[in-house]
Amino acid sequence: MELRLCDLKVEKKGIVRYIQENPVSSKLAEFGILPGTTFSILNKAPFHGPIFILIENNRIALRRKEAAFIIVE
Amino acid sequence: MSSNTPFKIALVGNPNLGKTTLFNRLCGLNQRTGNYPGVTIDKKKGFLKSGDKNVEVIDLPGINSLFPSSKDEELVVDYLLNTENAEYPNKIVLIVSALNLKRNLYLFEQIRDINIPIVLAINMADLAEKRGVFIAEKALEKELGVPVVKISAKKGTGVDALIGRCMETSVIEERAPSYIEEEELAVLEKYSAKEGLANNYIGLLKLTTAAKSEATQEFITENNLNVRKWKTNASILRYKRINSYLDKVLTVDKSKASDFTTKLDRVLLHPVFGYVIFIGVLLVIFQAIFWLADFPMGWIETAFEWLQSAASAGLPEGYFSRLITEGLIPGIGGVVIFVPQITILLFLFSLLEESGYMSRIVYLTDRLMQGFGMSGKSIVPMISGLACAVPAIMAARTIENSRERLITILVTPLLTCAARIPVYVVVIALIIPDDATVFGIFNAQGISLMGLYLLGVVMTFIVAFVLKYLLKPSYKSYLLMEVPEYLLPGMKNVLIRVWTNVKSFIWNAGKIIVATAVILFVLVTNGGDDFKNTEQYITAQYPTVAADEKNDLIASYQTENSYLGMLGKTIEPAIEPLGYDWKIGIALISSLAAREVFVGTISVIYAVGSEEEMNVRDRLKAEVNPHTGMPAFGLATSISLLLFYAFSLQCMSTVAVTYKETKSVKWTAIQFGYMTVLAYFSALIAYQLLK
Ligand SMILES: Nc1nc2c(ncn2[C@@H]2O[C@H](COP(=O)(O)OP(=O)(O)OP(=O)(O)O)[C@@H](O)[C@H]2O)c(=O)[nH]1
Ligand SMILES: [Mg+2]
Repeated sequence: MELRLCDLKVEKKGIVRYIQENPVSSKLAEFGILPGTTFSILNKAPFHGPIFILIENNRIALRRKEAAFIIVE
Repeated sequence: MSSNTPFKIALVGNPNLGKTTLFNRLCGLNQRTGNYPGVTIDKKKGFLKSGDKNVEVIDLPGINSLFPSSKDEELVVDYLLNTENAEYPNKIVLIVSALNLKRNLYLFEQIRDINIPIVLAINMADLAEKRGVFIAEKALEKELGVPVVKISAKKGTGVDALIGRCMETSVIEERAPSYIEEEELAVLEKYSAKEGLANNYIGLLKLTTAAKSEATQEFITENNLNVRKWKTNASILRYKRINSYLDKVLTVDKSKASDFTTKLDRVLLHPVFGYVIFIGVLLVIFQAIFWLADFPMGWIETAFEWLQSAASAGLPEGYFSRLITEGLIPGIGGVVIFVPQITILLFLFSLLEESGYMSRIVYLTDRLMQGFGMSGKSIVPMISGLACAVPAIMAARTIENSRERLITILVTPLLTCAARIPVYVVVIALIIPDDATVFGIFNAQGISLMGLYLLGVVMTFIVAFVLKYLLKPSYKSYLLMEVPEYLLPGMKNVLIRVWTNVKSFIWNAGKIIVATAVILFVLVTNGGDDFKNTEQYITAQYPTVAADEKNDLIASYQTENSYLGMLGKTIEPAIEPLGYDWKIGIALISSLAAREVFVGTISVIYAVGSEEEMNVRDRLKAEVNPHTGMPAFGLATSISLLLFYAFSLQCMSTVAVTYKETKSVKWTAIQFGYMTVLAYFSALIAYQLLK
């Protein structure tokens, strides 16, 4: 089973493996969410709200829907 | 370059890097700033002199990349790609933050490839030192092949050097592409040649934009291209290139890194306390408006009363003097008195904006807002709509999804803007005594005002919810947002924001109020035959009354038979079911262009013909509805009036800006229409139930 970013718990760290092609994949790449980058989960908003991550010194908020395309380890 | 066309420098960069702060410093201007992405949403121009040369500086909204995804980004990208435009810049100052170099250089890499002369400005130099970030400018200059200057837009260091480097002549040449795989370059070259484009990168941008021309679409199908993949690949390749030189120029002393933001976020974004704090912050803001503004409001009130009696004592008897004492002074006073409240509101909002908390609110509320067909990003226009709907509607430009944006625009004017405060405060004071409290600590008038804010919020969400079902969902709704570090609010920025807004509030309201006050005064002090023969009529009707009482009778009969009175009587049937007499009707009509005029109008109508100087509130309390014999502003009428003002769109500026932003008569009309219907019927129902 592939691990998706949205499955990780708060305060977990990980590395992006690859990003499944999706309508916003180019946006994700632009925000520096690229294969090989390390990140940590800072916060998850309740009721399946967005996820807040720290990736290479950058704080980024994204929805679970998008986070589901990000395969991590 | 001829001497009269100025040298044009455009400020370009990712959102929230200090472009506007730099712009204000360069041109001595006062544009709005804030610590969240998407503060600037329009192109702004300023001027400065460098030696004997005139320089024009253009401040632009922040963009994440040359692949635009929202209206404000589109505006910048169009501007940068349209080389034919007379406004096309001679040079670009590309701003990056020392704290986020890698990500910001991404945009540099893109813009470099459209071959326009660039100077790179590394901002936040003041913070970089504290955080142990060191950037070797010279080495970076060599890697990038463009001038590099370290600055602090906030402190002003390095800004002169930046201008100096901008004025140097420079040439920029096409470089080897680092945004496409080699085997695909041939196809791209073929396309650029076919379209007659100046360079290949522009070709790539044209191929990947959402609004493709037919020929482009054909080319894509013919060659079986996966342009989305190209786009993603371009980003990956660019970051690869940046990584190849970043280590040579950037050193970070990790021991100095600050995790203040992370710690604070643990509390402020807590799944429970985060929301409690958010509500708490709003509560404190609205209570503060009442507590803090009380004293200055009292002073202003006294000052205007004094001015009025001084004017009536000092000026000769006559028409013109009455225009001043009974028309202008109460009219203007009725609005100036709210300046303290509006100042406090704006001051507290600017603190929020400058601190970086705004983006956290976006994050916290995104899920909730989605339930109402909007995005977390809608919260920014909505909060700013609590001050004024006009900039708020413009701020909706940052919302990428067109349906979410439209809903946000349509509902924002339902939120209680500062212009409603005057109306609310005056009317609340009529039905709730000053010293009433709730639980012995909260000011009851303050609580009622908050209730009205809440009503606005609730209605906003109800309407959004309805619109969500009426409007077809458009695909691609996403949230991807950079969240800034917390910063200590820059006091200069905060004060600029407060001052420019208060100034424009006084100025805009002032203009309309002076004009309406004069018109109303003229209309209420002139009339037809009935008006002219008042004295005989009253003498004949009431031959026995005392002189004092007679004067009162004359005054009220005159008012009712003035031109204004006649106008009021014509519309009375439409507003009588709402519990309003013709005077309130006139106030409604005259405040169609701007709500805050209501108080001024009411002051003028009731001031005319009365002997003593009273403040608006006492005057309204004393007023009796001639039909019912009851106080003109009883509970039912007052509540009905509050509801009317809560929901109606009495603000021409809002109508104009909605049209400008949606470019659609239909949506502008729908907005005006639904709000008017809502206002009329809720006022009607409330009055009929309560009377
Ligand atoms: N410490 C520090 N803070 C700065 C500096 N320059 C700007 N800021 C702060 O950074 C924040 C963003 O500034 P703005 O000028 O609004 O940024 P912008 O690039 O115009 O942002 P958008 O219009 O949203 O694209 C504000 O809170 C400023 O006070 C600087 O040199 N040092
Ligand atoms: Mg700006």
